[in-house]
Amino acid sequence: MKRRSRQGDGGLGEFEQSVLLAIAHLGDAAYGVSVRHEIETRSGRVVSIGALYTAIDRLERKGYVRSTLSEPTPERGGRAKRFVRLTAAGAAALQRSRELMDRMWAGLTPDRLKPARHR
Amino acid sequence: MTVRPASRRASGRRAAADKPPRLAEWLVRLSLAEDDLDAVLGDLAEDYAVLRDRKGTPSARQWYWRQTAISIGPNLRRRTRCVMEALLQEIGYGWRMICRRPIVTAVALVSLAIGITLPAVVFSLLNAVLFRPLPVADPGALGVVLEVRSTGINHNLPYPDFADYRAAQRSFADLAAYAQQDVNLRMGAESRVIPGELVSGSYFSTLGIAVRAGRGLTEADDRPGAAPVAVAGEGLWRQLTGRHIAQGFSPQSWTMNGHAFSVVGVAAAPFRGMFVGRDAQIWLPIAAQPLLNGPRSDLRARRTASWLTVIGRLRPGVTREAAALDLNRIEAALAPTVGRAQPKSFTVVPGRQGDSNLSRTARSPLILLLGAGVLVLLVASANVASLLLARANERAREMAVRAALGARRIRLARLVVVETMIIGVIGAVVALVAARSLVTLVVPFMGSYGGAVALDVSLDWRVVGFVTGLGFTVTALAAIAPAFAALGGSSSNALGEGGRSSSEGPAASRVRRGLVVAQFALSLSLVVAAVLSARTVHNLAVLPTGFDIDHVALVTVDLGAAQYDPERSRSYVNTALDRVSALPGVRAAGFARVVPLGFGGSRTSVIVPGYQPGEDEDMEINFNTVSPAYFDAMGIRLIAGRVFDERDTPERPGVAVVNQTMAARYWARAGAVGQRIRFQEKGPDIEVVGVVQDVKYRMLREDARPSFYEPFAQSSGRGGVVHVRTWADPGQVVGVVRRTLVATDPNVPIATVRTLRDQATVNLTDERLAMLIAVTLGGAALLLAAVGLYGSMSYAVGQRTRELGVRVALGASLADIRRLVLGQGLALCIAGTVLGSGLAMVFGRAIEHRLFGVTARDPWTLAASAIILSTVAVVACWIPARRATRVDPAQALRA
Repeated sequence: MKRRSRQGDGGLGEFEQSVLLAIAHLGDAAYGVSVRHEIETRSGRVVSIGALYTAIDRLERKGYVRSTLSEPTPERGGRAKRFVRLTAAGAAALQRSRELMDRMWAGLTPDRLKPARHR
Repeated sequence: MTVRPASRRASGRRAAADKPPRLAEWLVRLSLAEDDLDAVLGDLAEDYAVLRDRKGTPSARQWYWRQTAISIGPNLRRRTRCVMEALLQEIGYGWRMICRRPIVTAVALVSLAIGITLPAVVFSLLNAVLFRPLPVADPGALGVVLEVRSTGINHNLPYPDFADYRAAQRSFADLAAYAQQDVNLRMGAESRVIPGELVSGSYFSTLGIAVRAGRGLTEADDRPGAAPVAVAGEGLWRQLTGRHIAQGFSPQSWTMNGHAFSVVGVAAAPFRGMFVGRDAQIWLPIAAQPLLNGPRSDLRARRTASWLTVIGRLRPGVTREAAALDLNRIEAALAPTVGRAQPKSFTVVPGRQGDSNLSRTARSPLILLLGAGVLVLLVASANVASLLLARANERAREMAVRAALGARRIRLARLVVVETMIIGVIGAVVALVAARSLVTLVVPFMGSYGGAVALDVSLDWRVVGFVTGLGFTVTALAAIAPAFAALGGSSSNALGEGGRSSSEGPAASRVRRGLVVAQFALSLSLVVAAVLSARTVHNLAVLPTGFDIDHVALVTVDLGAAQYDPERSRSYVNTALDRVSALPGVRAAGFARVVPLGFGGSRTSVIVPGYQPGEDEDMEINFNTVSPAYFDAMGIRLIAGRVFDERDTPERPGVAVVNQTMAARYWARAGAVGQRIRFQEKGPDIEVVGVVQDVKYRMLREDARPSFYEPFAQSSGRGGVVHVRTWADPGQVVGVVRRTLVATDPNVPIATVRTLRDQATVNLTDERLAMLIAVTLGGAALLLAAVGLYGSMSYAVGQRTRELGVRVALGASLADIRRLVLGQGLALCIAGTVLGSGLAMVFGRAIEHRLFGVTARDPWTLAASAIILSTVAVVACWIPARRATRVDPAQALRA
């Protein structure tokens, strides 16, 4: 609905990045269950479905993913799946986040990560 | 055999366990928007099935519950955001639709704004008079003490009783007493009457009145012999000192009723005394009462003079009933010691508004007006509904397309409602602003028995709430028809029209015509009310009063303030009258205690020897104390005997002149002249020396009642009014009369100067205000109905362009076409008038008792109103009719 693209603005949150990356890993097979499993297996954290769909909505509004409803399937009690696909803008955003992090990490030696002595 | 049911149960349980927990599913479903149900519930079901097969039902259920618990929060947040976004989007869309038709929108908006403004104005007044508490601390805890008598409520108490109750009572934190007291304040060379209050020393502290500068009055100020002090209102302080109180305060000495009072404080502006509608500007201790009104009128020691309103602040936890019982107990002990045979009985009523006389008298007329205002609002909302209906019809195609593309009908109806709500909100805001400024214009017209009314009509939550409520109700009402049209429209119809402009269905056009008929019906009842009230004012204004109303000037001289004894008063009056009558242009000058048509007067019980009063006959009779020239100065005709003259001195036996009604009532056969009356059983005889024609005494509406006159020379009278009858306009001589009186004795303050005609006008204040409002409401309703009719006819003409074109093509003349349109419009108006006359009869009954010289069912009034309505209808239809005659048949047929 919204035509305005938000590509330029802000960075991605950690959870948003995880969701986008999971979608990228899954390709055509990305929908609610598979995305959640992907994140849960890779991160070991429990993901709430509510939070997941909130993130997907937000990413969709930003134009980073596009979602479509499938035909209903019997194993889901006759309910449709919401498939999500990464858009070009989404891929670019992931790339930017990665580059930003890489630039920030560049040249950081482990000894510099020691906690500060005076708080 | 026996196993089977059990096994079936077991398999049933297993089947239930196969499915996700139903309660959890239901909770998730509740937290989701409809669009998300499939994806989320499907995901959960899928995972559940996998887990159940892998780890068994219990852990699958446990997982499901856990997911439910952590998902509900995000779900809900997401859902509200979706709804808000959709709503914002709809508002934006509605706004664009509204802007696309600026004229339609403007008409709807103006209709609505007028419709809401009028009831809002009335409600603001109602709020100020009935609801708004006095600006004192915690008004809800105040209680007014009233005496219950077998004959009704006595609102006032004597001072000694107040003092005794105050000392003995335990239910109130404290009691305070107050009474109205106008004072004559010296302002430079002039004196002016300032409304004020005499108050007990506990008044400021008990009521918690904010003092802007200096201090309030205290117990010490209210002791006998205390130095005379006063507290001024902010407005009066500014008037007298020319400075705002914020610019500093120092005690001042002001001369009131000839005595110097030290002004020790200034009360904060919103406080204007304890009488709603009265603008008290000066507060004086009760101890100053004899100083102000003369030592002989000292009321402080009199147990029989009830003149104080008593109010108290209830202690926390004490009910008003308990407080009344407490007072009754005190009175029971007190009564025998002060020689009262029958103890008084008290009730304590809420004191948020003090003991407000205005709320008692103005309640029912204001409620009546509010009802009339709501009628106007209904007329206005019919306009809005009609306009929206027309637009909904124009948009039927758009709706059909949207519906065909899958938009849910409820959503389309929501669009209509949102659009209406936007108009409603704007209308309500405009109305609020308009009502706020209008109401301040109305207040000065609300005379209360001649005195100006001061009301706090600023906005408060009640007014804002009322207007918002009205706005919502009306928009909801107005949206019903178009919303249903959106819900029920059949898509194939609208789409099947192949691009031709959509035409209105018979149902919609019936609704539209019905709305116009209803508008005219409601308008008729309001126009009838306006005509009736106008006729009432007219009838009262031309009513014979018995005196020469157009040639008399009235100058009130305050001999009480000068504290002259009767003899000195008489000599002042005689000199003054001699000088005034000698002025050029003056025909006669007289003096009287009571001005006619001032709502007040003097009454005394009279004994007529030889006359046996009936069982309940009222033998209290109005009287006036007058100088000999009074009758001449008022143009009151002598019918028999003589009027007073220089023979009637204090030393001679008392004489009286009676009016016709009194003569007819008591001495119908024998004739009144030479008869006698007495004021007390053993009192001296008073001889009736003359009979004069009846005149109005208190008000124009009264019937003729017995009344008599006593000579000023034989009275103890002090204050009164100089009546000056002139040859020409009395307004021209008041200046010179005033100067003459001041020159006669500068110590006597001149309180007011006006003409008798002014006095009569003031007497009609209520009726005039009612007329003003009725005419405004009736006019507004009529205007709105005319707009409705105009809109409806314009729309109908637009819809029938083709038909009209055919008619013209087939040879109909322009006059035929015009007649067709006008005829239709008039038919609606007449239908409304017929319906409305029934309505007018019903509403007429509500105002019947306020009419004078005309009944609510007066056929002439009804006929006149119907003619007014029809004329307006013809005017409203004229433009659409003319447009109809301009239809080009060739173009209409091609369209």
